Amino acid sequence: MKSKLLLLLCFVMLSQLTFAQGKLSIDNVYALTLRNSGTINDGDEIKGYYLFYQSDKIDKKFNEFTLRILDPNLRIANDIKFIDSKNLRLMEAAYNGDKLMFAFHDIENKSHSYRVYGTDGKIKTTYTTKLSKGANLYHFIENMNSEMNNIDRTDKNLYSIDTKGYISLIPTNNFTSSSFSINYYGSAEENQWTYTPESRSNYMTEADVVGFSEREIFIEEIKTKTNMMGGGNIESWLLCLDIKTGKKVYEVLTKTNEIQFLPITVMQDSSENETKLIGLYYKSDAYVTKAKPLGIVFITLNKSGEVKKETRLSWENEFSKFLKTNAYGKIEDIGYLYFHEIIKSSNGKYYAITEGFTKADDGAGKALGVYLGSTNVPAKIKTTDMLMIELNENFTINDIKIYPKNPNYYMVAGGAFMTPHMASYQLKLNYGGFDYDFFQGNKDRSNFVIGYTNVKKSNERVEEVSLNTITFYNGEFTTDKINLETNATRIRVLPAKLGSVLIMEYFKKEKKLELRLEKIN
Amino acid sequence: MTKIFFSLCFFFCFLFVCAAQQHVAYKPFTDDSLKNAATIASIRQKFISDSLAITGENKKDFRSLYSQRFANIQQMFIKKEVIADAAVKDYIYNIFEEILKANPKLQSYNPQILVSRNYWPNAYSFGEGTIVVNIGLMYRLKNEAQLAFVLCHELSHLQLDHSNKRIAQYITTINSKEYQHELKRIQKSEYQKRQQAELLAKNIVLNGRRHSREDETSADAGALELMINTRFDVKQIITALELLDSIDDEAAGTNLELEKQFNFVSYPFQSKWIEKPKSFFGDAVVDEKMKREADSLKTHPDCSKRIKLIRPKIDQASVNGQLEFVVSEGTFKQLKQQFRYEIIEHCYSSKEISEALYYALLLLHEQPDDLYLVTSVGKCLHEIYSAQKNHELNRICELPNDVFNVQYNSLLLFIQNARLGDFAAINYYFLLPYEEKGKANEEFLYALINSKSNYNKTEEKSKWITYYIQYFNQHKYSF
Repeated sequence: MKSKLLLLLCFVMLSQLTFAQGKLSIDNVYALTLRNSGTINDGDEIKGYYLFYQSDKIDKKFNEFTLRILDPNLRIANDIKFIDSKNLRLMEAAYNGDKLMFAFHDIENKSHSYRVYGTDGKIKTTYTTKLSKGANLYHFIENMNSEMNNIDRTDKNLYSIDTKGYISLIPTNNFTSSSFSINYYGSAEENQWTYTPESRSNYMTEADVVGFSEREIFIEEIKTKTNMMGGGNIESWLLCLDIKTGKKVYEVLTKTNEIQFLPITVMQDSSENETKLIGLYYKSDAYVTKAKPLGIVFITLNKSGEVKKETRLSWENEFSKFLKTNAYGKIEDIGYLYFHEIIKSSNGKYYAITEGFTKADDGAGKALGVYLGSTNVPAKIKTTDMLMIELNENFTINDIKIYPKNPNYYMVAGGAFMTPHMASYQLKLNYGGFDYDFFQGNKDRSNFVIGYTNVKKSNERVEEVSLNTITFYNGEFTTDKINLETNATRIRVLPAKLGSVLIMEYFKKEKKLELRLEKIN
Repeated sequence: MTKIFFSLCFFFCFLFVCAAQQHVAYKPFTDDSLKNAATIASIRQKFISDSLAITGENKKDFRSLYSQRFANIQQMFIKKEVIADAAVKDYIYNIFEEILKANPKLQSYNPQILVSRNYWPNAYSFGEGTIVVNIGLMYRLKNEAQLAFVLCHELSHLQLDHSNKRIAQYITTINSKEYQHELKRIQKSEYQKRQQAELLAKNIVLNGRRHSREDETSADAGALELMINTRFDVKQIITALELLDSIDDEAAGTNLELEKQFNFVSYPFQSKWIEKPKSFFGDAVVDEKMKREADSLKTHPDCSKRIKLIRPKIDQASVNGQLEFVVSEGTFKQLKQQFRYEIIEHCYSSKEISEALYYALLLLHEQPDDLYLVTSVGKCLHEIYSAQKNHELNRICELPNDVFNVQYNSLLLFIQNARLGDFAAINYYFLLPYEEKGKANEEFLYALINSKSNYNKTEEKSKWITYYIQYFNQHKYSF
């Protein structure tokens, strides 16, 4: 208790330095500038937060930065000061149970630097990766998008792997084609590898890390052949890399003789040396960009990536017992389902967290687009209720719970000519859309929380905004609602330690950033 | 769990040792509002006359700080921190009088003594004549002589005009041509503003701290001079300073026993409730950093150094016949015990619920089955339940932090880790065994009925509401 008093006294003395009205004080001579902030993740667990400040200008080229690290209770764990290029941006942070990694983007030098810090707050290793032209273009477009849409850019491309190291996915863009690279950075020992897929011209490849095992990393690749009119059909691939070497273990099209499927989640059953995938499935000959999925499928792959077993749950047969749905998954009053997460809990059951959506058909907009020869006509996506689908160990549906929420609308550029599902992928991928906000859970998933926003509007005016949560604890589901009404200029809700959320409020006039933890009921 | 004080602070406490005492049922102190009004009126009068007496080029700055000082004192009254109970006032006045009578020159400073309900072990002088002693310090003291030393130390600060001198020094510095010139230079410089500004600020702070440490040493010496003239035992200065040194060990001899208090057959205690999340930066890093800052920034020199400095003088001054108790040993011990309850009551009414629960559980460990303490725990758990339900828990409870003592921190972890339903269940089962014992107590029934309501025991809730309305015709609560 004494220590706290001493610190406060120090604070009092410093704050008193500002009292003299009309005269210069420390406060009006110098101020910290917050560049960005975010969470420090270990998988789905929040281990802390970072606040990245520009704390001083050193010379024409260099600034001093302060990286403030807060623990899950918002206690200041450390302030790390360093001098670097003035155009430095902190992209992401991850914790692997042993060390912290911060990923920076140096816009001027066109490079990424990955800095590994130990538990003593001291830097252990720095990896620098020179960015390709494509990766630079990707960042340029992303920054432009976030500035135009006035949203905080959030990168989700850094993953921690046990105590061994980290994986970073770097997307690239060359206008006519897009691709990615996977980079591994060791934290226990200095070790780095890069995997770059073979380049295919006129192919847009979007990649997402969908799972890990002790030895492998799984990446879903969505490859779209571009044509004169824009997009062609898509192919879904599953890429498996060896974590130790970065070598390809296999890369397979996600299809069987009867169906093709888009994986949502990948789980590894190390005891049986099998990989389990859950995803949406289509007819084997379907033109996926134009087709609608027929249901969800549970696939088991062997260690070579060959399909050993599949179990399908179709909208028509299985889902229709619980929901008023047609054969293409359109549910009365809800629309189609977007699958945000599918997790396996410690009780052996699977839970799929989904959100309803429909695409408002704009005939006039489409016609105008055809007339003008443009495919870039936007579509309006309406999001509806949240649904929790409970599946047993044998992958049969036990129950589906609907959590009603108000409809919300999002615009997707170029979405008018897409199927509702393709437009929904675009919404999720490029606009951070949907009302679903986050998932947080412990390692064995015996306790998890889903957060989503509920917006109540009247005549286009927002009347009420709340953060709603669905919590799984002690084998039961509970819900909660936190009203987000505020006088702050901006409000941001971040996931926090399990069972809490962090509310960040920025007050422009007072130049004040307030952080508060709120427990979820 | 702290308050920010403007003026020179003096605080200390000691290992929690509670002598076996006769347990008396606690009744909250009653404040005489007229007495409080008269006290604040006289402090206001002093503030006005001090403000009017200021002359010179920086008088606006002086008035601004004097005004802040008065506002701080006024806040204590607004927050009902000041005890105006006749028994307490009379007792502390008698000790104060013993010092003033023995030192007639102090009369000219017209000192005022206020007893604060604050739990923090602290005493301080505002510098304009008001001296405050917290009950959080008083209940930890062993005898009147130690209390007399605390008062003499603060009177000595007043006599030596330490607070006003620090204000003057500070105002003169920041208005000086050199300081303003330096700030302008920093403002104009394009680079390394932070480094330069922080260096400038640090020099002022460190200079202030150095003077503060010197002030403490001279206040100790001054206190001894004042105390020699009284009947109090000056050797108690050493024991009092030793207590200050052991403040961080306070929790070592205590145990909240959350695992026992909140363990029920139907709802067993879960170890995850007090599980500490692993911090990625070890505590050692923070502690080491704090220690470094504390060494250079703390206002008080180490107690061991203070003891070393004052001991030779005490050895010379100590004579046989000096007393540990002059006014009343019985009242001292009785008030000490009452203060511990008063802290719980005040924390609860000030919505400092984690502190109220901590002190209630701490005392419950010594006074098991005490109905006031059981009720307090029940009421605090209900407040926690309601606040969490409304997402306002952090307004009434602090977040865990390793700078707190281990016991308090484990309670904060419990508050953070347990879920809403857990609080409802814990409170229900905690109060259940006391239903018969507490049914004649309105506050207990308030806690009991809320526990039934929160745990969805509808029938039990209705039964107790009916009983409550019948038993208490003029009932204070409605459900």
